[in-house]
Amino acid sequence: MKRGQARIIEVMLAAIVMTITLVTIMNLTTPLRSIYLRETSDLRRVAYNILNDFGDARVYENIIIKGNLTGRLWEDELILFISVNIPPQVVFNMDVYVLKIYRNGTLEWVKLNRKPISNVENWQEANIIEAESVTYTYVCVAEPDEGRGTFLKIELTLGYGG
Amino acid sequence: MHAMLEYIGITIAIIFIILIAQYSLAVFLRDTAHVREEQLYTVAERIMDKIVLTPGDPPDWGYNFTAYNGTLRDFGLAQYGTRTPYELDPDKIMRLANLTELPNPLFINGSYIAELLGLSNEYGFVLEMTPLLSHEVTVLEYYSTPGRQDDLPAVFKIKLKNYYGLDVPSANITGIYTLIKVQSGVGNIDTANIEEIFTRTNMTNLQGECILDFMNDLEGFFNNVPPGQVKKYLAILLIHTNWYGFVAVDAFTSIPENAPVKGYVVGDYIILEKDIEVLPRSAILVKDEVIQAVPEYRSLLTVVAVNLECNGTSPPSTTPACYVINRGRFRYKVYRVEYVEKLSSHMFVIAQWRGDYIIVIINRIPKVNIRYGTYYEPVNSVVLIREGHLFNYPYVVKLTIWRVTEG
Repeated sequence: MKRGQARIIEVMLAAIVMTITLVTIMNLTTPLRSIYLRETSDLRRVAYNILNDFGDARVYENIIIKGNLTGRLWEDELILFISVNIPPQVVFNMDVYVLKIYRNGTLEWVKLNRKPISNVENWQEANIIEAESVTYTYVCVAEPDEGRGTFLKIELTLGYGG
Repeated sequence: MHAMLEYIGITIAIIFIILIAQYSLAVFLRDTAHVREEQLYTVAERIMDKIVLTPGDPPDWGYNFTAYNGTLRDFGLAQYGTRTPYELDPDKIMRLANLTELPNPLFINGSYIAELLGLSNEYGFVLEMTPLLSHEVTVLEYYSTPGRQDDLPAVFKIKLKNYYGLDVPSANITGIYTLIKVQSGVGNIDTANIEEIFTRTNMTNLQGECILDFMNDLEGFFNNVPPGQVKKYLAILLIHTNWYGFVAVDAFTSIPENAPVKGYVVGDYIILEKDIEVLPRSAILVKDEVIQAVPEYRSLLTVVAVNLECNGTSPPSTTPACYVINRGRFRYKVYRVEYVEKLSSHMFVIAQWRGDYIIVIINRIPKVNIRYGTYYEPVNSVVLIREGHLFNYPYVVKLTIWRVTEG
């Protein structure tokens, strides 16, 4: 074999080795999770945006406080209300807590909703692609008078269903 | 022969390297596509925040258009001086509304907004704004009276929808039916007065519908009105909706065919079609929603005076408003209103058109759709939605953005 032919074979082998190395590195590299990062960032903003709007419009007093005082199914009302206010492709789950202050000075967040506040059948088993959870606290200031000064903690999770 | 083998070998090596380079590039582009999408989201969020959270520059560009003659240095729709996020300025929103019946002379178009936001030539966008709750009004029955050519609408079906078109049940809807009488005043000048107000309240059903029936009220009222006076009455239905604290206001009136019943309020100025004649004291303001919570519905409406600023037919006046609005077109009549309540959601103007009295409804919570650039599906676009406030009414802002190169 002549020296020139040997060099060509060397070049081809070098190219093959480099290619295999490059392809292997590319496939082993951690995939960029940019979709996850960017969309949840937006979901978080949307969640705070609507929770704040509900607070401004006194929705918590009108649905949660009045519902608790009258015994009506306020959870269903809240499901409908949130569903109409968020984009259709977004799924949500909400839990509402009230701050109980006991005589010995201890504090406890007590869950108010008796059933899940969600637009999916079973939130625990739902296939959620991306989700973001926010916590929002609110002090009731409007009517009914019995509810004024009540501390509410609202945990809202928004996500995209799979 | 050996040289031939070398050439073949080199050719194969070159082809091989080109193919591998193509493959590597494809893999690289596939991965970086995610990054590019994220950048588009970042741009969209930045632009959305800028639009809804900043007032722009000059900050009073919505109503103080005469001082700047339409020249902006920065674009933003937030109410100047507010500490509440997502509080939008009605005058700035009005500058973005463009009615098909009457083009907005102070309209700020998509190209100008793109330039102000630094998006020109690189990104396209659609900016849509609409009230969270909207009403569809259907007249089911009319009240007919002798002496009138047109009957007064008396029974209404109201359908309440959200901005996606979903029906909204369990909402309290109050109809405020206002009868306005036009009569000759001092110096034989016609004036308009609010003569009577009826209210009816109902709740929307599962289809988001309810009926408001004013037939008995109208029969009772017109029994005491002489037949010759009946034709002097005009009717407006103001709809006030409360849905667990979210409020929406809308207005309805019977419209003669082809009548120019639309207009704009920007600052203290009313901009109307030049063919109509507004009565001197005939602008009716709907006060702020907070005041509307007071059950005294008559106090919701205030009659204020209007003065003609320019008539739209002669060469433009030297007053700044006329100069800016009627520049080169002479198409609009511009009136200055004695007083515009900052948070007034609607304004009704009583005017004469082709011998008839008509009511021009000016809605200060308009639907807005502004587009810059074109795209064809499918395109890599990003959609963001925020819920703002216009006055105390929830107002949805939707921004769709895409790269021009991908459109």
